[in-house]
Parts: sequence; C-alpha cells; structure tokens
Amino acid sequence: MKDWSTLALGAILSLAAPAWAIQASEVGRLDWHLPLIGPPQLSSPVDPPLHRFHHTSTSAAPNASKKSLLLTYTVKNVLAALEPSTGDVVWRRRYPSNHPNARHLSCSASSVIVLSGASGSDLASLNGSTGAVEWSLSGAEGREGQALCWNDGSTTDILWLTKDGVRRIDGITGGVIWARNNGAESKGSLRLVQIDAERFGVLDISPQDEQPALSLQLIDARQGSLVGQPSSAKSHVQASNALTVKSRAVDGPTSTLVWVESGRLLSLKLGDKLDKPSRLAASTSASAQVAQVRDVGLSHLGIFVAHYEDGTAAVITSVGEDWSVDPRVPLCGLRRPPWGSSYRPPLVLLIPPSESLPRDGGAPANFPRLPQLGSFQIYSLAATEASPAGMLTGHTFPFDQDKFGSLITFAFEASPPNAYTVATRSYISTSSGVTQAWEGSHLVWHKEESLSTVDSPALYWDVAETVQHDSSSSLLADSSLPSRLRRHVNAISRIFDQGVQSKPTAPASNGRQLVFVASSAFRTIFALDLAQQGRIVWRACIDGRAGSWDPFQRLRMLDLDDGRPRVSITLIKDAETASVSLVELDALTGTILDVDSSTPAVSAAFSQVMDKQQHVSDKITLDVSGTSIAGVSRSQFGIKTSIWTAHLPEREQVLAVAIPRDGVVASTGRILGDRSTLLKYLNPNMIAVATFSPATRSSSVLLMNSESGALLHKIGPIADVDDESNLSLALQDNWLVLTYRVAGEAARASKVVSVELYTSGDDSLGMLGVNLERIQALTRTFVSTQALEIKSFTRTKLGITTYNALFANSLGQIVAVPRRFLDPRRTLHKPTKQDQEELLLPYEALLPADPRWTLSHRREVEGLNKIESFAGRLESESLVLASGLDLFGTRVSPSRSFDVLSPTFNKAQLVITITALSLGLAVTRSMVKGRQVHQKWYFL
Amino acid sequence: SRSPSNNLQSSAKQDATALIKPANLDSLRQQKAWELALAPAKNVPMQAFMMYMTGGGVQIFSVMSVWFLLKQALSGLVRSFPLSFFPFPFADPLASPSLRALHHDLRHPLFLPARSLTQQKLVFAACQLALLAVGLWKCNSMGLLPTHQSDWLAFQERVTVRSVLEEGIRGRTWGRGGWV
Repeated sequence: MKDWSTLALGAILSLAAPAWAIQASEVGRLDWHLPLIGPPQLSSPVDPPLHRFHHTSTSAAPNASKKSLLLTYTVKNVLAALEPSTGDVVWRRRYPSNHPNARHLSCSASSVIVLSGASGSDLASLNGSTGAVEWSLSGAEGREGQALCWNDGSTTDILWLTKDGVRRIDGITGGVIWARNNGAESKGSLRLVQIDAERFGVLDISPQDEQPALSLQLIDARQGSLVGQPSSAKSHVQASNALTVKSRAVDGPTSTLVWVESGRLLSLKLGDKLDKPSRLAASTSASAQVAQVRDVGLSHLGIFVAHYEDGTAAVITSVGEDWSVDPRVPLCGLRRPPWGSSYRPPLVLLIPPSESLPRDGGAPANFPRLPQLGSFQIYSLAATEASPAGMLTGHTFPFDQDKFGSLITFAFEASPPNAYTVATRSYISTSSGVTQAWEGSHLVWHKEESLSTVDSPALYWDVAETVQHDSSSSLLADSSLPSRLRRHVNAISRIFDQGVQSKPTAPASNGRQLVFVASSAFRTIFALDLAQQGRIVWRACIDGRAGSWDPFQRLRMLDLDDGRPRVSITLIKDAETASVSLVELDALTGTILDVDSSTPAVSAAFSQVMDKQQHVSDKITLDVSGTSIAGVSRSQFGIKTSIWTAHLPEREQVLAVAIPRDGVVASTGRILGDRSTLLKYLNPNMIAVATFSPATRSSSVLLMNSESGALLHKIGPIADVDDESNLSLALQDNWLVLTYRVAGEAARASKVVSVELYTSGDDSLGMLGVNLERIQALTRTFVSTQALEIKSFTRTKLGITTYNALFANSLGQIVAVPRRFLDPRRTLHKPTKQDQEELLLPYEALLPADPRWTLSHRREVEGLNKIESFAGRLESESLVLASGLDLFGTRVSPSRSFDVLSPTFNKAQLVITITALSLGLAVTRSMVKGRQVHQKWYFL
Repeated sequence: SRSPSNNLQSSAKQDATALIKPANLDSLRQQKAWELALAPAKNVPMQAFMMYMTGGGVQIFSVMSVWFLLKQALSGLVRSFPLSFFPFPFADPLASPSLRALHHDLRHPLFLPARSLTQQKLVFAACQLALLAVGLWKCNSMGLLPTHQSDWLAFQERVTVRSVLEEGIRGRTWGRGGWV
C-alpha cells in the first residue's frame, strides 16, 4: 500500500514538473528566426544604383585587402550589407517608413555614406564592415537632397545639397567645413556635379515651361564661393531622363549632361559657359529611338548605357573629347581603355533588359514565356595582358520566369583572375521577391525576400490532423451540448490513439504543421513547416493574368472529396463585371491545380463551396477613415455596399481598430473565489475602436457591433494619450488589451490597459436573467518600461489553457505576458482567502520585465508587424508566428506543459515497478490464502 | 462440519436465559437500545470538531475523512438501522431453528411481548442524519457540492450570434500604418 501511494505521488510530481521557459539548450529547437531584408527596391535609372558591391576595408592603406559586401536597399526601407558568398546579413539598418528613399554612395572603402530622411535631409556615414553610425547630420527638409563625393587629393569629403544650401562635410569626422545658402528658391530639380578639380556645380533643371531651362551655379569647392552662374535657355531636359556623366577631356575631367529628347541623345558640356546641346554622333546611325539613359554606377568613369525603343542597348563611353558608342548588343569593339591597367569595375547587361517590364513590381502580363534561361553579358573593362581593351564574356543560367517572375534589379562585380577569364558575381532580384546570387553560371544562394511582405492572415493546417484548425473554426457554431460532448469524446479517443507524448513530435512526412502565408504585393504564397524550423515547403507565384490580388482576400482550405486538400485564393479578375478567378493549389506540394475564371453567378457558387457557411452574401468588412468607420458589404466581389457608417463626435479621430479572430471558448464564465460566476460577454461581431479627441487630449475605446454599427460600450476616457502615442489594441473573446506610449516628453513609459468584458446580468437567475446588452468592463492599467505594444493573444485547441498576451517591445523582442499578471481582478488589498483561491495576485502598477517572458530570447526580430497564434497539437501548446520584416516562429505553453510528461520521466522505472508489484501480489495472494485456511483449522 | 464449540455455546446460553426475569429483561432491552441509539450522538460533536479543524482545503486527508464520515452515516442509515436493533425485538421462536429446538414452551419469558423501540430507532436515525449533515457541511465548505451556477457552466446553452465579419479582416488591427 505504501509503495502504491509513493508511486502515485511520484507520478503526480513528475507530471507537474515545470516547463516554464525554454532553456538555453532548447533555443533553436523549438523556435526559429529567419532574418530578412525585403525585396530590393527599384531605383530611377538616372540615379546611382541602389544595389551594388562595395569593397570595404578596415585599414586606410592602399594595398589593404578589401572584403566584398553586397549593399542593397529594399522596399522595406532596409539598407543591408550581405555576404556575397553566403547571402548572410552582415549588417542592416532599417529606416522609418516615412523616409522612403535612402540613397547610399561610397566615398571611401571604409565607410558608406547614406542620404536618408523624408527628402534626403539626413546624412550619415556608416562603417562599411559593421554598419555602425560614424557620424550623422540633419538638414532642412523640403527638397530632394543630393550628395557628392569630393576627392581633394589627400582627403575625401562630401558635398551635401539640401533645401537650405550646400555644405562641405569632412568625410572622417562629419564636421561642416563650409556652408553656403542656395539663394533664390528654384522649382526645378537640383543636381550636384563635378566641373573640374576645383569647382563643382549645382545644376538646376527646371520644368519644361520655365525659362531658362538649365542654370548652373559654379562653386569653388575649397571656400564655397560662387564663381560663375551660366544658364542655357533652349532645351527640353527632363530631370527623370537626364544623366550627368564625367567625361575625360585632355585638360582633366569635366562633366557632361546627357539626356533623351524625342528619341535622340543630346549632350551638353557643363563648364563656364553652357553651349548649345550637341547630338551624340553615334545615335544618328541607329535607326531605333533612344528610350532611356541609365546610370550603371560607372558615370564617374564616363560610361553609361543607352536603351533603345526596340529593347537593345548600347554602352557609351567617353573617349577624350568625343563619345564612343559601342554597337548595340552584342557588345564589342571597345577601342582602348581610357585608363591604366589597374582594376576597373566591369559592366553587366542583363538580357532581356529589365526596362521593358513594369516598374511597380507587378507581374508582367505580356512577357514572352520562352526558354527558361537568363543570361548575363559581361563587358569587362578590366585590362589584362591578353585583352588590354577589356573583354566581353557571358553566362547563361537557368531561370524560370513562371516560377520567379521577371528580373527587375541586378548588381554585379568581377575581376580577372588570369589573362583570359573574368570571374563574375552577380546578384539579381525578380518581380516575385526572389533574390539570387550567381558566381558565373553557378547559383550560390537563393532567398525568398517576399516573406518580409506577407500581409494576408496566415492559414494553419496540421497535416497529421484530419480536421483543420484554422481561424475559421467558428466560435459559436459548435457550442451546442451534443457537439461539445462529441468534441470531448473525440479528444479523449485521440489521447488513446496517440498515447501520452513525452517528446515533441519528430518531423515525419505527415508530421508537418504547415502555415500558409501570402504576399499580395509580390503575388506569392508560401507554405512554411512550423515543425521544421519554418522551412519553406513550397512557394507558388500567381500569374498576373489570373486577376488582381486584394489584400483582404484570405487563403482558404478546400477539403475536397479526393483527399487532397487544396489551398485556394480568390482573385478579382475584373471589378466592373464582377468576375473573379479562383486559384487552387495542392496544399502539400503547391502546384497550381486549377485557375477558374468565372462570372458572378458561378463565383457565388464557388464562394458557397469555399465558405461552407450559408451567409456568403452579407459578410461585412470595414472601411476606416480618420473620423468615421463604415461597415461595408462586398458581396459582389469588389462592389461595395455601405451598410452603416458611424461618425465620431466632432474632431475626434480613429487611432486604432481591433477585430477579434474566431476561436473556441472553453468556458462561458469566470468563476470567482466565492464561487459566484461572471458571465463572459462573447460577441463575435464586436469590434474595438480607439478614438482620440484633440480637444480633451484623451482617448476612449468604443466597443461596436460590426453588424449594425451600434455602440455597445464605451471605456474611458484615458487621459494621458496623444495622437503620437503608438496606440495599439487587440481583442480576443472578452479580453481587450490596449497599449500606448504615455504622452509628455519626459515620459518614457508605456501603459498597458487590460479590460475584461462581462455581462452584467444577475448571477442567481442564470442565463435566462442575463441581459446581453449590458456590459460590465473590469479594467486595470499597468505601467511598463519596455515600450510594449500589444499584437495578439495565444490560441489553443480547446481554449482551456489560459491565454498569454503577445507583445512586441522596442528591442525587437516578442514578449508573452501571462494572463495572471494582466488580470483586471488583481486585488488592490492584501489577497483574502477567496482571492488566493482564485489565484489572484495583488495589484502592482509596474508590470515586471520577466526575462522568461521573452519568447525571442536574444534574437532581434526586426520590423515586427504582426504576431499570429495557432492551436498546436496538444491543448497546452500554442504556435506563434511573427512577421513584419523578419519571420520568427516558436511554440509556447502558456499554462506550462500540463498534458506532456516531462522529458526526465522514467517510463522504464514505472513499467518495472508495476510489473514487480503485480508479480508480488500474485505470489503473496496464494500464500495468504493457504495461511488463512491453515489458521482456521488449527487456531479456532 | 461446524466446529465443536457451537454445542458448548448453546448450552451456556440455555443456562443464562433461565436466569433472566421477564420484567428485567424488558427494561434491560430498553436500556441497551438507548445506549445503542445514543452512541452515534457522542460522535456528532467530535466529528464536527474534527471536520472544522481540517480546514476548507481539498487535500487527500480531509477528503478521506469526509468520505469515511459520509460512508459511516449512510451505512448507519441504510444498513445498520435494522441490524442495530436486531438483538432486541420480540424473538420469533419459529424464525430461529436453534430457539425452537431448545424451547418448546412459548410461554417462556423470552418470548413475551415487550415495549416498542421506535423512540430509540428515531433517535438513532436522527444521530446518523446529524453526522450526514456534518459531512455535507464539510463538503460544502470544501466546495465539493455543485450548488453554484459555476458548477453547471459547462452545461449552459449559449446564445448563438451569427458572425457577420468577413474572414479576411478577422484578427486584424487597423492603426497608423493601415491594416495589419
């Protein structure tokens, strides 16, 4: 008997072994992090390239070895340096999203000069190998800033043009050497150009109807004094199609403006006098019209590329006073290199030229789908012994346009390892957000950068489960008693099927836990395996011909009879005729099975199938403007019908709106310490709207019914909020969490407001006495020093496990705060016995920063935008997927792993003990029986 | 195949009953019945004190003691009620073969009618009920009785509200940067 109780006690204790935080040894097994930088941004052809190889060195010695880094600027406003051989991120800097165009240039090997800010108004120098800021300056906003490297023999300085004038900046210290005001305000586009060794110019290209069209301020670079101001009247230069190229005249380098005017290539030498523009001679021989001039990063060497209307291109180089136009592709015939035999950067042309493609990142509609090959033609200007004039070489590489989209950006570097070959390294990106690096014709790495732009709600599918558990499993549809009983019986039988798992499930072929994410901007769908560190199982690129992609269209699972589940998405083919197309992909392989284009009648039938619900026609979405919210029905796929509009009181504005996700709720009430019940207010149509009133400088939260726009309840006003306070909201079931940065300059704290909503009916009357319209809101406010921002809550399979609130903090970490700490019923007094029974903590205003709550550990998850949670395989588990720029995934157990045996549980010992005890029982039973009979016979 | 001691016992009993006077026997029966009826009454305050001292927590020992208390009270009511007073009723000579064998004279004092034991039985039952009440009070203080709404929460039917929001915006938030 004693043995049994000891054993039982031991088993209970081992079950309750805490699995609170991930140990250091478990990091990287449960969680994974994919650092991303975003798809490369397209740049204007006349600006210096945004993607280039930079050779950085830590020492200033001329013969120091230089490490090659790939510098790239992306649509996510990230300037990143990648290791060219592996694609690893060496460093990256994220610029605010309201600073869309950062440009970068290299004036020396050790640093990178970055021009950022809303209009190039910030100038900074970054260490080339670490990305650390060496110095930074801020200028006046309002005009596109310009920067130019100025090499003065011994020193390399930066000339910086902003709205308030030109400054010469010391390249090493960032000190201002001189500053000069611009004088008269100009409407045109300003450029900084080097005129000769001592002077530079501020070139003003005015809009077409202005006179004069071109004017130049000649400025002495040493003192910053104005030395001349020539102008030219007659020209039709467009700033978007004009390039300044350094040409190599006999008496030193000069700058020339090259532009395209009605299909002709014109040039104008910039100097003391602006002459009449001359036509570049070679362009007359070509029958085709010039479409565009392009800076390939060699304009300081007098080289640029002209693209013709027929899709061909030519390399144009400065040869003395003249211009040499090499014949169009294929390139050949460079007469002589205009410089010595030292290393020169080469030049690459991509065929097909990317200029024929749309620039907005959309998929090309009419691009020919011919051979699945891409090719580089490399025009190396590096003179070698065998080819002093440089050489033309090239590579062909496999490139599937259907799969990856079309090529949109590129960067390259090359060097001649011997006299006859050129070793090249190229970096390309495509319209579907793929980036690849090639060494010659060998693929070095491949990255899916469109994962940084996922915007559709993720769809989760556990392959091992026959039933899908995604967000569409309805909150209230299956809450009737029979279905609940069935669910519980199913859950119990599943326990017997699977047994108690002592280890995380090993990834097997059917052990996949797929999550499907989509990027509408890059028209790609990914399946990531959460059980295998977020490995990309497949990617699919949806062709632009299928229709336009609405970010509000979510991915759905189609569970058809043939046993092959499909992922589908509806695209809008034509909004006017309300025709849609339904794209279906195999959920396991990602192959596109079907693209159905259909008329409205058919599409309605499709959506009936897709929804498996009866109410397709009147689903509501929300239109949020600054001061009003409208409920809009989009029944006809794109054609909107406004159902209700709620206008805020005068001058109030909407700061944030939260829409809950459907999910299973285990209990409809909350049981208090005195065994009374608070009934949860559960309304799947409730939305939370945070508003801000500038007059009172306060904020309030409106709970609204999305079906009718009716106001259900109002929480607030909250006094210390302002419109810059980064307010965010999240709502799940009856729990609302609001975070904001406290107003006021001195305050660095953020506040977390936790609200639980209950129906305020009379407990004793039971459900019949409950008035659903009356909401009782319990609220507690906490202060956090971590700048927490609420993102979402954890989800579990049956909703029994308590939720954690998932926050992002200012350090790029994901913080999961247990509900107990955010409980609005935390006591203000010493906890009574009943409070203790309810496990209530005494209230403390400061929310502790417990390191065990940080899910991302030491990892910095950049650009965190969205955190989603899915029910794991066990009730105690919840899967978390964070996206934004980086992807981060982990598995959490908000109430500890109560349904998993601890890894140290000794099963063998249990089996041996039970066997030994059973044997002992069997043996002793017969012995005792014999003894009893013996006693009865001989001892009365 | 009974053991030989049975014969010895019955001969001893014969001698004992011969000495008993009918009047004495009846009062003795009443007295013994009262003793038996009031025996659990002493138990009630002791059990109540014990239950009070073990506290309101649900622990293995308090649960076990409550279980034994309830079991005792219920078995006292159900099983022990007829058995407790078995030695005292009018002995039916026809019911017992051993008595019939020994005494053919039905006028023997053992078979004379006696006073009823109803009062004792009622007191006994009341004591058992008091013990049961102590047990239930203890259960209630431990929260083991499903007497609250919270105990029946899982069986409550919920008011069904049709979800009207489009799935594409479910779980999303709108903020400074638009929809997330």
